[in-house]
Amino acid sequence: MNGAEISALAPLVWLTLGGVAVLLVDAVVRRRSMGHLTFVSVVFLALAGLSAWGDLGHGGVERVFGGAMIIDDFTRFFELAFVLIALGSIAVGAVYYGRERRPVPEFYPLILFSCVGMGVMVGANDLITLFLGLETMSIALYVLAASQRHSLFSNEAGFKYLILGAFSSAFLLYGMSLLYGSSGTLQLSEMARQIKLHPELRESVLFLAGWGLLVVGLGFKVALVPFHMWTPDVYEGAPAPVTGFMAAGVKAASFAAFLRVAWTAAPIFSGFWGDLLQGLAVVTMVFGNVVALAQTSFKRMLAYSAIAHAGYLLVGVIASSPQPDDAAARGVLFYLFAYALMNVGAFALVTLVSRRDEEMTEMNGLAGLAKRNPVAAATVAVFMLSLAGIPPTAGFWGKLYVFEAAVRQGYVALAVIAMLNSAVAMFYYMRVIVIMYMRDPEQEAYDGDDLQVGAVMAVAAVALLWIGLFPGPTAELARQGAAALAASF
Amino acid sequence: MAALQEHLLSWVIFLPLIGVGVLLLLPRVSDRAIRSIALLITLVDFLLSLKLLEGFEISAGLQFVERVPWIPAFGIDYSLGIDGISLWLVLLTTFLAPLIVLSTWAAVRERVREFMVFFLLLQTAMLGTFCAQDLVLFYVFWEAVLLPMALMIGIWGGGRRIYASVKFVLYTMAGSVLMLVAILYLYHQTGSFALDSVRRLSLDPTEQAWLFGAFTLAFCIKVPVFPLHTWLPDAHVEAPTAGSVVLAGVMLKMGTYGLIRFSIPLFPEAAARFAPLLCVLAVIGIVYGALVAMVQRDVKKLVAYSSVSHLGFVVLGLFALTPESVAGAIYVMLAHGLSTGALFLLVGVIYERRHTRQIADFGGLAHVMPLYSVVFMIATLASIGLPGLSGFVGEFLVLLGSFRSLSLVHAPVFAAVGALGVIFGAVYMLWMVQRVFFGPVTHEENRGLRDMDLREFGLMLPILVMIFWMGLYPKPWLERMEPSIDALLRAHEARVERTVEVLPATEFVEAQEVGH
Repeated sequence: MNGAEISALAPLVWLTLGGVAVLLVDAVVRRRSMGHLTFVSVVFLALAGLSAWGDLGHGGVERVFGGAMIIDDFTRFFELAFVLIALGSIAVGAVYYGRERRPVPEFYPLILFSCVGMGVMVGANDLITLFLGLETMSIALYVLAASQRHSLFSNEAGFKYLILGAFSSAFLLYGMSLLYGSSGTLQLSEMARQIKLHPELRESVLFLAGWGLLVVGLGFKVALVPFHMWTPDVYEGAPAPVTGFMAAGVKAASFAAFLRVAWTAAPIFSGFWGDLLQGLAVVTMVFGNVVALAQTSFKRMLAYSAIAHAGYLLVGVIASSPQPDDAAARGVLFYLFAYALMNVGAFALVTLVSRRDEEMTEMNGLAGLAKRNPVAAATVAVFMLSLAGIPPTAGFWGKLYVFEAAVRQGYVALAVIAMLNSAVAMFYYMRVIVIMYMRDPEQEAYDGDDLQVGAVMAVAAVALLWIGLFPGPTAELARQGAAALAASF
Repeated sequence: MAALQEHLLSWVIFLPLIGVGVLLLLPRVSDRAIRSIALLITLVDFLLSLKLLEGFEISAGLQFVERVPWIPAFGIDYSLGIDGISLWLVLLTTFLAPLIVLSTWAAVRERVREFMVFFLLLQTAMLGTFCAQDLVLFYVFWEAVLLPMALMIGIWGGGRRIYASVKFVLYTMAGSVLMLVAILYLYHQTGSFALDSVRRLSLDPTEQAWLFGAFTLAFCIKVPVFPLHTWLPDAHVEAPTAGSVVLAGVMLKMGTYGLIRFSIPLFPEAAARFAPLLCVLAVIGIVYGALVAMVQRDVKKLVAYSSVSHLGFVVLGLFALTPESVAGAIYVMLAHGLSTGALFLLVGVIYERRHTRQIADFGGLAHVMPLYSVVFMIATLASIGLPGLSGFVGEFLVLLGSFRSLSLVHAPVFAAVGALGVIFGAVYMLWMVQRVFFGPVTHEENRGLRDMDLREFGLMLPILVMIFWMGLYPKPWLERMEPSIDALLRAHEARVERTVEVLPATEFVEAQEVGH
């Protein structure tokens, strides 16, 4: 391993070191409060973020571990996103767990290790590496979902996530073994070459079954219907900062991997298989939105909205193709980045208005928030508008980029369905705003005045508005990321 | 000053947004101070917009053009400009704004700062909608109108305010999302979002029909054209006075403005093809709105339905596609903004005193509130279209133009049914006035009502002046909009005739033959 490879891996190295450092510090320093752990995590996250940021946009490509991973602008774009997500989640989580009777110091290293997994997953050019990344990310999250040991909901969430996660891993592994068996390689770029060179491979039942299983496995992670069953329960049961981290990070990492897989097998995902994916996208959007309409719990509503968003993103993946300057892939990257900001912010709200042992999950608990805490209400309004895709927020541009590419590639019907869905979605996002601004609180109100959580929300909201007014720079980073991914084939 | 001159349009649009920033950053101050700041900002904005009028040259071209790349990778420009049509809508908006702020002095007592913030946001978004020359920029402003208005209805509105607010949002959203897809499709075809390059695009009839449908649906919901109007009475009745004035005065015009700026020039063949359908809906709206207004017991609801009727004239005028009718339609847009705005303000005045708007709760107010009654009568007569007041000119031109329209089969029938609407209009308005103002005082509690105070009269006075001015001397308005209208119709005819040669035997040809 040479210096260039190590420096390319620096963000992941910092994250790993950070996780280890937190464990050591926690073992050595015995303190009731966990401020020191927050501090150590933030320092290492900042180091990881800075090293990803420093190399981002220079077009540097490094193949590490004998080509098992590719560190390029695509990987760095996502690494930066993961670091930001983790920073937000840790700032919020420190407050959340700080309220608990028993400290949960595991929170910090698990978030960091999960980030490592996400980074590996995004950079993976090899099925085994992809699987390793995915498991590293997921196992940390299973524990995190159950980290409120005394809460039955949290335990249920962790257990459900574990079982269904293991289930999806089995699909994934089986698919991978079929792919290896039929193509004789594990490397994705090599496999893409083989598909191009040997058209007969596209007819092979084993090979096709392999891709199908891979899509199912990743479909679980990104919550496509009908592989979404875990989502509402896990989102609702897991502690709010963990849910935010999961909603933002897992979605981004899994879609990054999905994009790479879809591009590897691009010739296969046309015709019948492409139609199948389109059907999946439509079902996912419609189901997510329609069921979200009926939710009274804020977290469950966001869970179903996450399903709907997976549908929109899948439209982008379908419209994308491994070309440099592919508009759809740029849209997907931009969308994921914006989506991460919205989710970290929206779930931070839950922490803001909750008390010890009593998570605010019902939407009605937000009644009158605009009077008690106008700043928090305003930020949440921004998150909801951005989720709904109303300008001038980042979410609008995400939708615009993705659906523009879909129209350009001839998926007009898909774009129309997606836009009609966003009109439906406006109803339940609007409801949050209605409750905050127009209803008076029914029961005793939560204060919700924690500065640290408020700051995370404010930063996320300002970023969403800023990107909404000036989407150019972020879109340029997304474009470079997509171009780097295209170049790796 | 040079920067001000060069970016005058941007200043007019974004001054209210600067005001939002000022209001948000202020420490705790009295409600009075907040109102005064908002009033000052809207007044300065109005003065700035008068500079637009001063610098406006009578010609068809775009003026005060500003064009800066906004998102270069996508070819999206920050591109503004106004012609003789936009100019008046911008002025209408800035003219009404200070009056609206003034009208909230006593009516909005809670959460004043939030109210003013939402109002100023709304102001920026509405002004931007009328000036944007880039499809994405237009869409951004168009959608930005949504939330502040919904919040104004939902927070300061009446009993069913949440229902009305959500209904308003969902109706508008349902229309505008399809418009976004249509915009993306146009981008896909031209590689640009700029209005002038999209205008040059030639599309085949099927594409045009779909795209026209997507745009027109969004606009027709906003106008609202029968049968998409059901959100309007709810929104109007539940909205606070200021909200109703904004809605009726300006926001409904966003829909008709969209028709004339986008639907007709971008898809001329489709516009010609569907003009009869839209005109049929328009006259249905004129008559239906009038009839439903006639049976209302609530004054505000009556005025709301009268809007459906008046906006029917606008749509009829636009799709009759003659120079007179289009000019008339735009004139109605302005006149309706004044007269209906005035009526909503006046309903607000009496509602603040009596907390009821039922016609049956009043009677004989002319004895108690003579000044109020006079002002109300003038606004009513302007709304009916009495010659010499603002409403007459526009409706007359619309009827005249649509009588002679070549794009409609049996054009005189449309004009005749439209004229019926004018008569109905006189009936429901005058009947309401008679029941509210004349006869003996029927309710004891009405005896002690205060007449309008200086503030209330002061804010009505500019509107009254404009009502007379527009009615007696329409030339300044018409001469500035005419070149733009002529250019629009000339371009339209050139495009449509060209396709007629290519495509014989369309409905449009039949229509033209019958017309001749």
